[in-house]
Amino acid sequence: MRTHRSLRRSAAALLGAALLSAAAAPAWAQTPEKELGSARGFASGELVVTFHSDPATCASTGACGLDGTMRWSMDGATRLGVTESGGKTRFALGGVGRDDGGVVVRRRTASGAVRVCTDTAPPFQGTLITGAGGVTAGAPATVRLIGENAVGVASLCPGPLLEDLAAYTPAATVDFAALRRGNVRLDLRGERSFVAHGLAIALRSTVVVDVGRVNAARATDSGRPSTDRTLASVYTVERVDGDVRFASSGPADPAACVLVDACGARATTVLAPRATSGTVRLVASASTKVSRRALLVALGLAEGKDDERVELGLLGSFDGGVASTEVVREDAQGVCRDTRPLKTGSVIGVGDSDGLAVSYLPFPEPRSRCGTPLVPFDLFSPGTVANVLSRADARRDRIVLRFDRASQLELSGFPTAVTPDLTVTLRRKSRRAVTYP
Amino acid sequence: MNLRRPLSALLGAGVLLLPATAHAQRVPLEQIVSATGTVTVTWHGDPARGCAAAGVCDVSGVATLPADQSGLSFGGTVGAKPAEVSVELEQGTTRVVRGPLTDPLGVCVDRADADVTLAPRRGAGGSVTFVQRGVFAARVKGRCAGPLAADLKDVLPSATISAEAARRDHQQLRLRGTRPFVSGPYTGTVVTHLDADVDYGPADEEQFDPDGPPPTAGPVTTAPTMVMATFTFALQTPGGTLTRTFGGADGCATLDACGMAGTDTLTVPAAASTQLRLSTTISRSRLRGRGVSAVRDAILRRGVQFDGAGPADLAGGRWNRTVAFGGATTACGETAEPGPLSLESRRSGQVLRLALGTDRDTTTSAFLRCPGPGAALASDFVGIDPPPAVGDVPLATLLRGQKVTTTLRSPAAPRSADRGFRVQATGGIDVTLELTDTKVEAF
Repeated sequence: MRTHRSLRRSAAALLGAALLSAAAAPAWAQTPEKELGSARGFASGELVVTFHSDPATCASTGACGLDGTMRWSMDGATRLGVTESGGKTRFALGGVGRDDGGVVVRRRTASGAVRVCTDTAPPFQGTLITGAGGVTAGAPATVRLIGENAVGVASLCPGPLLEDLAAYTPAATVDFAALRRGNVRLDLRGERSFVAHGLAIALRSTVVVDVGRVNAARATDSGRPSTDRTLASVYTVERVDGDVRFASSGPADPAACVLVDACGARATTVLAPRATSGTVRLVASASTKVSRRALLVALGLAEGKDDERVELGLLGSFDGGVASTEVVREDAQGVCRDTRPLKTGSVIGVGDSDGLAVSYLPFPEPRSRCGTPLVPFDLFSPGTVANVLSRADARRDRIVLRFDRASQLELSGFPTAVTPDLTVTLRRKSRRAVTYP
Repeated sequence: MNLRRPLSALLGAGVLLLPATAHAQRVPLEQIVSATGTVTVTWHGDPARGCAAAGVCDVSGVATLPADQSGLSFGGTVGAKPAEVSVELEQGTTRVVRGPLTDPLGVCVDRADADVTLAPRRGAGGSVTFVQRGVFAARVKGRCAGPLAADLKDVLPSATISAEAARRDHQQLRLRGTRPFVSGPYTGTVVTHLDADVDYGPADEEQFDPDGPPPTAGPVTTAPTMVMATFTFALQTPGGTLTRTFGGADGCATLDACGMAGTDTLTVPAAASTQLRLSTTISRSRLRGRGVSAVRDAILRRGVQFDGAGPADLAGGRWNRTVAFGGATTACGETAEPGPLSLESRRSGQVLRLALGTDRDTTTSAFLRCPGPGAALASDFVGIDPPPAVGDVPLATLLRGQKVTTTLRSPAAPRSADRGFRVQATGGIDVTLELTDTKVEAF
């Protein structure tokens, strides 16, 4: 159990870091981020977003009749992380907007009646503040309240997504030298109004973040030689076919459905990931007491008997694809339809004695502007879209990951049928093993 | 992960309620709880319980409390199995409606998190029944109208496992049931559908130390190297009143605060003989000279912090809240006795800051059943929610034995719990401190 737990922990660390810093391209699988430093901070203020249907554009997306408010309190201690990847410096502010926010959306039906949807505002996840620029070269960078890859927002209620708000959130200019000196105030206050996805949106921020001195990252090498040896074999993502369907219906209990405006509602989300590029690593790890050859055998790079002391893992991602959602409310002014690009799809496999339990994880998570239950693509409860790859199949030069196990879930009280029909085909790039990470 | 609960709490009932048996193990065990399911609390204003007088007859609400969705909770290290099981109910939502459900006058949405604890009790034949211990330990701001967590007592169903199952390393608890409750003007039910898988495994020996560290070998130092100084102050107050008026602000639609007009009044009674204690431990090498004056000089000159404080309790405070909505004919009114208010102190430079409030974690006194700014008496003293009232006294004057008077007022910094509301505070409470005793002990 311990081994499994520690494997899950290391997988979590790898994937967690990847998702938190996820860029549009699956850079994390190829270019690791370098931590430049971090600083303690304290944030205060609120982000309030109000919106209503834009009469001129709402019909095309089925967003007519809406009037809503979203609110996040940002008060609390924060940590500003500064990392560098591919020549870009990135600021990530963690720990704000975690546990205090609400969403209320009123919807006017076709007959003029009013329905109300309520939910807590989902906490921000991922990169809240990002900035790209030549920070290390001394040029200032722009930091924004909501970063380009922030995820969150939209839950059970219809309304804008965080990504719709990002470009309109207030920004501050900062340079790394000033952060090094410390006591920097990021003034992220401001107001903006705009129209997006059939909604007229007004955004007001009173958020300021006081950041202490950035301390340079310390080397984490303990100096002790590792007792594990890890090798990897690199695969390219040859193709991704099929889709994953989620079909939800509102809670049957009137008491449960009425305050989320889901009585009689039906929602269908289809994830159709496609790949133009992608890399996946099959990783073999064992104590240094186990021979290097045993690792190569487990990776399919040498002939011999499979040694079960070698732990296998699979980790990688690919780009492209689209997620589309349709929500039908019988009394609505129209069917709500929403489409979003899928920035990345990840596959992660955790080894056990039967083989590799492989899961597919989309990024961003399938949320929609129509209001749908959040599908829990959670690293710690994989299985929403998952299958087992045998150790024998993992040794092949061409690996076919097939996801076709249907399941029934209850998401926030919404009965949901998950029907995957997804195939990810990997082709080994080279028969030479590489060290990992 | 539940690292907030002290080891002693984990050990407490598990050891006390279950007397040692032949099967009981006194070896460190790591407990991991994996829970799924939901606890759903619903309530409404009840005419039979005086909702009309409280102005909440049109209020109904539901709090949905799912088990921690990360799936795993590190229960900690325990000495025997079965031990107490703590289930974290995380990322929950409170929804409160004023008026009809389909087109309400107002809606309040708030986060709701809570911990519930199940204590094992040995039954006939060695079976073990897990029952709710205490009340819900809420970690909420409590801005919506509804019951207090402190009223949610004995509302969870019990779960029984056989004697054989109780000896296993993997135990499954199934809690199903519906129980009623009352809370002030509200009547409600708690529907529980929780499954908890509890795993026990060997724990890291180094982390388990119920009896303290073993005696160390080697020479014992006998010469005192440290001194502990304790200052006792007499605290007097003629009493006073703090008033906060509040209404809706930006984002008020999510807290049903638009058009709201409310007042909180905290009345603190006169106190003639309350004590406030501060203590600190200082290395003798940092003292210039001997006695009280040397200690006092070290505190002032070298910025020595106080590492112990005995807060002064002010009994008999009363808290009154009235809330009305524009156009509404009724108002929510409530008076509570928040229990002892404490006057805590913290040093900041050459100033001793006195803070009036109650512990945020208390489930009994920090919240009200009427809507409004949350946890108005709670104080975490670290800045997110500044104390409801603070006052500063010069430390040097105080330690030299002179009588010092300050007025406790609401701090200017906004409180997180006030977000969504526009709050204006007035009033103050005069407090006088005078040093009455100083004790210095060498060890």
